[in-house]
Amino acid sequence: METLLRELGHAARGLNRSRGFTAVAVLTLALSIGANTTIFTWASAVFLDPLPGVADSGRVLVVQQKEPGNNEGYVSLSYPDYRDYRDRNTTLSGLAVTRNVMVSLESDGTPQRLYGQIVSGNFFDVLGVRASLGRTFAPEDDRAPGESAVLVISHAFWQRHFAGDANVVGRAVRLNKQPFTIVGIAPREFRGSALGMRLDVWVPVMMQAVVEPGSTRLEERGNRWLEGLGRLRPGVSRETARAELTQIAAQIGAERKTEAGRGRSVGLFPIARSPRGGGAVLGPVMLVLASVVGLVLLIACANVANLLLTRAVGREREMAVRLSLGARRRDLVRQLLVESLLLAALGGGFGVLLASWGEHALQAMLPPTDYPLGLAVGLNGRALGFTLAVTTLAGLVFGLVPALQATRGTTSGALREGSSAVAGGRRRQRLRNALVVTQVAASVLLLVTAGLFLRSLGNVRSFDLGLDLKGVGLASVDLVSSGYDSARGTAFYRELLERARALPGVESVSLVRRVPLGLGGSSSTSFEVEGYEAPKDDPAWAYVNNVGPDFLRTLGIRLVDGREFGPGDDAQHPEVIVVNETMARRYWQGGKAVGGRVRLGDDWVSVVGIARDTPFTSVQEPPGPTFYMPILQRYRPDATVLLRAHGDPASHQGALVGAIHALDPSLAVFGLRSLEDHVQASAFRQRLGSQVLGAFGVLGLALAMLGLYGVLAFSVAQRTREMGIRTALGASVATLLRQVLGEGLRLAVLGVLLGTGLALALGRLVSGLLVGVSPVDPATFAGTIGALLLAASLACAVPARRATRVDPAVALRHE
Amino acid sequence: MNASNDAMIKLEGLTKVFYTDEVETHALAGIHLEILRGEYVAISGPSGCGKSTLLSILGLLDSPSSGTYVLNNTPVQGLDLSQRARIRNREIGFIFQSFNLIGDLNVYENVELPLTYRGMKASERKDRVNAALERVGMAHRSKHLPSQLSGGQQQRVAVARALVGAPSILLADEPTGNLDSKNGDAVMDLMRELHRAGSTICMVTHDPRFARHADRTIHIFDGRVVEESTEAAAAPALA
Repeated sequence: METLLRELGHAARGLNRSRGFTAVAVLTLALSIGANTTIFTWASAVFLDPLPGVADSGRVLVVQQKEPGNNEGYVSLSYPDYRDYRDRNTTLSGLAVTRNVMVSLESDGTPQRLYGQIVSGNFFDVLGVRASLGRTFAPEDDRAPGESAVLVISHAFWQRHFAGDANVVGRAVRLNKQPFTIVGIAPREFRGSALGMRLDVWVPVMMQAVVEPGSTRLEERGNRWLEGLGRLRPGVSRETARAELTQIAAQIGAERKTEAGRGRSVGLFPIARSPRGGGAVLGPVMLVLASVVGLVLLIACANVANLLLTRAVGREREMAVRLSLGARRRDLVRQLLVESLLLAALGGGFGVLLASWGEHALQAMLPPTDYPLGLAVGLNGRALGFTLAVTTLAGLVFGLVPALQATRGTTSGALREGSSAVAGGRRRQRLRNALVVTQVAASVLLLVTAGLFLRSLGNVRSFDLGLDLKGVGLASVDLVSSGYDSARGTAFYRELLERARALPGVESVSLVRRVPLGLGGSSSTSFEVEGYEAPKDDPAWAYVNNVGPDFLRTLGIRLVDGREFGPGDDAQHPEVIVVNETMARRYWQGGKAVGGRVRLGDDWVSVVGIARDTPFTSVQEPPGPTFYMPILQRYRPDATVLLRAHGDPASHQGALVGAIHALDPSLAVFGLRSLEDHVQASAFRQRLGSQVLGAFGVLGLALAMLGLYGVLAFSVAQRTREMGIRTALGASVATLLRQVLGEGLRLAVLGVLLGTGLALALGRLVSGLLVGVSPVDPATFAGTIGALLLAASLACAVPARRATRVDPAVALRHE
Repeated sequence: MNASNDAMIKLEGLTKVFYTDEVETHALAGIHLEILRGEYVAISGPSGCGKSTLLSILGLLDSPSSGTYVLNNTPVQGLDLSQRARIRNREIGFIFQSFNLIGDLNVYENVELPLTYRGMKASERKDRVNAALERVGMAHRSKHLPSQLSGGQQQRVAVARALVGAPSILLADEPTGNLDSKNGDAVMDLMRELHRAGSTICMVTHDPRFARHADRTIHIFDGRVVEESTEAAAAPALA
């Protein structure tokens, strides 16, 4: 220990004396370690601790179903399905269900709009979450619909709204205008079971009809609206549980002969890998970011290793002296490693400071939305442990090779007076060159990936989505909170449409339940198509959306055939739907969809129009079969007003809110934004990718160029005498420039070739995150390579110029 | 007493060949040499004759191409790096022309350095370092950095570092080469004192004035010992 402390002291003194070197090395390491820590805190919040406050969350899995033949993905569970899975399985210690909802909570006369979850009675038990005050739910809360008017609130809401009043348990409140009682406060860390969201209230699933007025889904087996959450029993594997649940699905299908349960499979996913929700959005992009910061760290380590190799030349005599005094090689290696680890520790310390700033950057990059988005990102013990590990690893990686190199040479030459012999000089130069090539290659990989994301982001903006985004403003209303029933709500919609249509500059107005390409999720349903015999293992299904009159016109969606909804498509008239092109093609197979009929539940409804395909959930997914229902016919209380008008949508917001409040001054209006902004939110992954990768790409490039510059500058300095001789022998300025530039650019080109090869090979890993651009996009590759070679030329220019300025008289006197 | 038994160093047929690309350079071409315990030997010769190479081999900083080297009755030519380091640390003290003090360490730490590689306790190190610095008259400068000292002072510190581990032999390579005559004389006086106190010294020098201080001078030319002269024989020639 005494030896270590002494060497630490010497190392600190040595670094203090070489302040320029220390500053560059520490800054390089701080940036890269800070980037790694930041991304670790982000990725940790997604992968390692996706559900804060949940005990052993790694064993909690999302349960979803996949219908045979349905390539569009997994769907949720119906409540009857859930009951069967829950009661028949032996591999899960508990299976709960949830649904994210928005509610209005009134405790002192002022309604609060909150996001929460409808949950089964065993939800908290399955997650292993105990109330910090009062109680959570119990299986008794699942007994009968409408009987458990109780709720649990979040710790944050309790603090925010009730100032932490302990007497709040047992207090009567009104949820969506109905009386409820607060029975418990969730623990501080617990945010609900939706990754990336901070939820404030939990209500028993039996109160669904109160929370979502106008629908009673509990007993509808075909209505899949609940997210399953199961906890694996100890010792049971995910695959075993999945196989058992799939078997139960088959049993259900066999027992209910009309159901398409046969062939249905069940998927069990870790929270962060769920094909829907926050995991689907954040998981893949976090994996890319984690790989990218690893590359940045590699570049930084290569850079510092290069600096240390250069520094080692200046310390060769010191090493020789130490060896002559009886130091063993391992003594010297240890001493040099202490120095590298001290450098790394300084870099790590500053890196943590940078990361403490960077942890908030993710929040700033989240899309503008009303949803309470936010990951539990923080510099906790795990993050600091990671930083310590990365710092130590970095210190060893960049320190070991130079240390071994520095202690490898013979000693006697270096000890002689005036000796300029550099033992192993050529070997070291080769190593330095290899490090620069590695840096350049990694930079190409980074920059190409950033370029691909940037092009994707641009494509999201310019992609032909089948929507005319310009000039459309959005405003959401919450009729649930105000206690509107179906008749009153429909009348409100009808009146609002008329008033808004009359506003100055307005071209058209409509309503929609789910604005396309939002974060609000999707609804799908299965149905029967007249004249179409669905294969037994592939029932007809489609996404469904409730829209107002003039919906297609307002959003600029082309009507391919038939008509769209008008004000007359209401409850007093026969039920109608408009289908998209994919649905028409799939279920009418060349025949005419308009005039066809679809059975939804017990009712037959007629197809009156075909709309152009537009993406519904994500710009990356091919449009699935979709149909629209008139909201004046099938009421939904949670609609968004769409207003197409001349000029900036923001300039019409005030008038629209005024029109809403003229009808009901107490109505909450929220989510005021343009359709363009809304669609941008769907490009969150591309924006996050392009911004973060762009920043890291530039950092990587700067470090690589610094490395290239350093190697060339050192090479020129070492060869001052050679340059002098060449000049004395008549070499022209151009010849010397060509020689040094060629030397540097050779390394850059080698790095570019290696990096391009890697980028071509690894591009498919990010292809799922790209929009409208191939992972081997020639323009992106050409642009990146061009930019990098230009930067490399600039990095080589300074040493090259220095080489041409060598005074032969001075250089030849040298040594 | 049989001289061979009392030999601190015994070289037989020692050669050293350097290979550079396709060129072979015979730096030492069959050296036979004995240095007795307590003896003060000077090695002299023209530039490039092989004297520094010989000193490097004597100090185990380099290995011979062939021949035998016995130090303190132990053959050392075949030892591994770790064993050589141990012998350098315990048996040999170096004094270089360019002092070779480590710039980041102060005087005390420079002198202490060989003892730290020996794993000696701090209290014992302190006693030894202080004694060595007292011996060369540099105790009052123990906190100074080498850059704050004159050349003569730096060499005295280097001498203290060489003798702090009580080595069997001191190897000095042109110890006055970077000093003015006054400081050079002072260092030579110090060497003589050490010799009188019992130290075995082997010094490379091309300056006959300083060779005169030795008991015996070995003349090397083209990698061979061409002449040996004792102090008595050499003195008239230099007069």
